[in-house]
Amino acid sequence: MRAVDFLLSIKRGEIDDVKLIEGFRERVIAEDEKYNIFITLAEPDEAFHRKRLLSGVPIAVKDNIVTKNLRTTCASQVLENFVPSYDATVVERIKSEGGVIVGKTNMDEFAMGALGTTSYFGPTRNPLNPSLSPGGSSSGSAAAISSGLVPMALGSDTGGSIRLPAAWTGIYGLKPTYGLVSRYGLVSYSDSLDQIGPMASSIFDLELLFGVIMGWDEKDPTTYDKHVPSEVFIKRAFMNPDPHIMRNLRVALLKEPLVHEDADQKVVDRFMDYVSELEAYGAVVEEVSIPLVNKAPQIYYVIAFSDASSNLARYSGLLYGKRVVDVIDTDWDEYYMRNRKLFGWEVKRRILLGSFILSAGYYEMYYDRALRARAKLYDELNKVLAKYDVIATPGSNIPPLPLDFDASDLSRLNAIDSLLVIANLAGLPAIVIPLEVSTNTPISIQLISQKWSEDILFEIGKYIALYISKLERELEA
Amino acid sequence: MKKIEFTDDFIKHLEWLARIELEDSEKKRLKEELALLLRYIDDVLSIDVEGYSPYIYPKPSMELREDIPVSDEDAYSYLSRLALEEGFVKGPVVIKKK
Amino acid sequence: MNIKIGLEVHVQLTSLKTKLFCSCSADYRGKPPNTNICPVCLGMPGSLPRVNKEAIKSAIKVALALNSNINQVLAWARKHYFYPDLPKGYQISQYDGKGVATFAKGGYINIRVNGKKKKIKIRRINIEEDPARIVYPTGDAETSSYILIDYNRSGIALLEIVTEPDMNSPEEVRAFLEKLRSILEHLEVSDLSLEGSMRADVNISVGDGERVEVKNISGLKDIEQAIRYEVARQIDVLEKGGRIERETRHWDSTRKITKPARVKEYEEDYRYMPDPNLPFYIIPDELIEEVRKTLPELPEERAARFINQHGLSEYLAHVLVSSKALADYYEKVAELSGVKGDKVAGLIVTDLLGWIDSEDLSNISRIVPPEDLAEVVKLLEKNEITIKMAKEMIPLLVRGEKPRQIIERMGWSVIRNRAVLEKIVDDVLKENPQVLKDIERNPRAVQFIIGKVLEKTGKKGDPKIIAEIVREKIRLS
Ligand SMILES: [Zn+2]
Repeated sequence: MRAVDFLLSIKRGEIDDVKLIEGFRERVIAEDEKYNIFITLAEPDEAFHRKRLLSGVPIAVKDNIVTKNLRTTCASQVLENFVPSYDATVVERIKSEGGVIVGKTNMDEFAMGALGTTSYFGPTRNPLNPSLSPGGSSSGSAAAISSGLVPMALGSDTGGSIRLPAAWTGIYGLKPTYGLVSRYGLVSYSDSLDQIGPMASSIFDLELLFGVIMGWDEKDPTTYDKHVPSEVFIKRAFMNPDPHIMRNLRVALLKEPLVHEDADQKVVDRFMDYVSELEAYGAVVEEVSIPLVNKAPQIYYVIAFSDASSNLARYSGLLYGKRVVDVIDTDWDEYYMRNRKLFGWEVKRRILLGSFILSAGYYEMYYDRALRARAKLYDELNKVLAKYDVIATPGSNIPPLPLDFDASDLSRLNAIDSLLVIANLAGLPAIVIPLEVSTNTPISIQLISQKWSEDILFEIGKYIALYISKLERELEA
Repeated sequence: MKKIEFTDDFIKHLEWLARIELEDSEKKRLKEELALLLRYIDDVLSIDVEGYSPYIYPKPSMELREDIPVSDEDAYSYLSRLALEEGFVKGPVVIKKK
Repeated sequence: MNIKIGLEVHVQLTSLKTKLFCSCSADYRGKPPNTNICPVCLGMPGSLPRVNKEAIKSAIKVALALNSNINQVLAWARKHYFYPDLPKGYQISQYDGKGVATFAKGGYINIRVNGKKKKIKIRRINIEEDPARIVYPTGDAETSSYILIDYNRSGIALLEIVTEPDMNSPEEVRAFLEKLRSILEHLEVSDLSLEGSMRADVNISVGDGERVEVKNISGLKDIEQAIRYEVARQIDVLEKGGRIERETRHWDSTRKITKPARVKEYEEDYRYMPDPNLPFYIIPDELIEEVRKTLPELPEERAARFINQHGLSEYLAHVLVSSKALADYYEKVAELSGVKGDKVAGLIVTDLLGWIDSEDLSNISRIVPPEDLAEVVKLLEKNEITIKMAKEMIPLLVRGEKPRQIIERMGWSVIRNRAVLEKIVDDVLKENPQVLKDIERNPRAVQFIIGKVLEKTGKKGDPKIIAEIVREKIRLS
């Protein structure tokens, strides 16, 4: 059931919100064993605000978003016993609208990974097919929705971490415009790329949750105060899409992900069938090529590794987190060297390489150059968006990978990384809309638009959901 | 372009920069994977960035905060859960022991 | 031997109400440890910095007063190093390069030593956050087996003022620091009498020796002592035929010596990078103009006014303006007494200062209220006391006695009021009619009358004036 319908039912007095949450806890205990979705479950909290936008809606939160008095681990041994003293702004906003945080979801350690397999707490499984990865790094949030445990969840997206799991588990996910959702309380990975975003089983719920969490926050200096007001999204979450949205919609079909050497032909072919449908409904689709897209992941990794080495410098076990050696037994050099051994391998190698990139002599060679290349990519994407309403790619151009896929050579992920990281590098909003689900090959579409134009993405998303993908109708049945 | 040699000294330097001590098996693994990762990210070096300045901030400018004090009881109660000594957080000595 | 000294002075902006990047109180002194903290200044995962506007205004004030060129783009860099007082593993500071910029460049301060003027050049001014405070359980770094950390100071706004190596003697360094202190006091951005509010790293080279850095010396007195020690040490080494290698030393403030810092395996590589959480702030011209308009009279202008309008000697004028408290004190006494110039200034500089510890200078108004000294000046001006008496009174005033009390106790008060004395003379003459008759034959009768009058005034009447009055009265009768 969609949260929007459920909320309407509460409004009409047809159901009792509290019981729904109790039911949730029983189901989650049964389901979690199968998929390893939650790292920490919240105590049942019936003290939520009544008669508000999200009253009684169970919401899962990725475990890199801090929650007051609720353990927040980032799926790392380093933070295994970290219980924050404050709520992230997005969590505050959800709570003040009556939403109920039911637990903290599994993820790649510190959001570093594409498969959900770098978690200290073990990998999350894909509810569509438990032998496959649900995609990472917001793997638990995607699985919580895809398995039907919650209608909506929060994820974070630094280089596709909301959209890849959405694509692989057959749900909706949005990476908002950089600066449209507060990062206060999101544990930093790469600050200029990170964004919190909504994930949901329905496009309507996605829009509602986005409406609640978005908007300027005085605690985050990188948020914007100029944007479409949140009321617009909240209102439209209960409305059908503009019936004329497809007519003359200008769609730039990005060529690179379709012809990538690692792209799966079957996935691409099915995706193209849906593109034809868009055209049939009136969209004008033209192919565009931006060759730099294929090098976007390399740009992305230089920036993200460097930022990670800086952001993760604070973990020493002194004020929070776990220790191997205690303060009495050691001196400060050794104290850091040994306590920081608790990071998992993926995190370690990214910090090590990032520290190197920022070190004397290499900053200019790698970091500065990556930032300039980022400017170039930004320019090229925006040139396309000056002529087209949206850029379209598959949500993923490969089927979900097996859980034991060896990603130690990151170039093996270039096909999916390249279509995902471009939105983060350019700070653009990007939505993933599921088109069809199956146990092995879910198909989805990603739409990228200009900054601050999430409203267009939601309108198109709703249209596709209702008239093209037919997924939403299946859900209702 | 400097050719980076993955010597033991280089790995030791990285451990020091990142303050992460590695096991011998991890050092070996790092050498192998660094070769792969650097080969991959070296693609950045071939991008022609002539005429572009560094893109650091997706939101290029910010506002400043007013100078008005607010106290935070929760942060204090957070720290009080640690094993404190007369209210102080205990830390390792800042001079080398070995 | 040629001595070259350069300074990196860190001063706290003590007039701010909050820390540099969070809303915790800037008034951390005297609070129980770890009570003046929040997620931001503890470097808690997920927290984000927010720049204090008033800190920027204070920095603009200082840059203008030091004739420094303010960068219009305010930008922030992360300086990475691992130390237990640095909760994030990096300090948010400013940097010249890597896409960001130092706060202000260039500038100078004029100093005078032994009447000679000299210009000390400023290299740059940066704004940065103060680390936490470290306390040793045994009181000594060498013998403590662990350290104690108080985060109350963490995040306090600091200005880093770096000079060129333009100073050639410890006296010049002292003059520079006093002048800098006075400027900051006049700008009302810092009260440097507060413990730990001024710290410095000092670079010293002597003769052909290499540059030696002495790190983290607290307070003007210790800075001067450390330089004297280090210069003498280096000269001694050179004279004995030794060599001075480039090194970092620490100041031991208990034993009053510099000690070599322990050699690290590797040099610290700060890996400066732009802080992606703090976008640019373009300092509006209007803001700089607004600050410029509110700039107070600075020490040099004030000294010139004292010389030109109060007729002070150059020497006394410059001593007075070396401390705002002192110059304010002089002006207050001059205003209250209606007397200005070297007489008042001399009493303050040569007499009062001799009895006040230089550390207590900022409390001078509380030690001897300006009203009291003004009274002394007035008494002196009216010749009711002599300059010798005034000088004798100073230590008693410092002990807290009031001028009237002292005069009473010492029996120094002199009645000069003609009307008062005339009345007493009249009384004495009326009481002694036969003496008046004798007066022409017995000149000693005049002395008798004067004696009687003096007796009646309790020996406080001015004998000269009494004699005048008596002679007049006799002539008239
Ligand atoms: Zn604070």
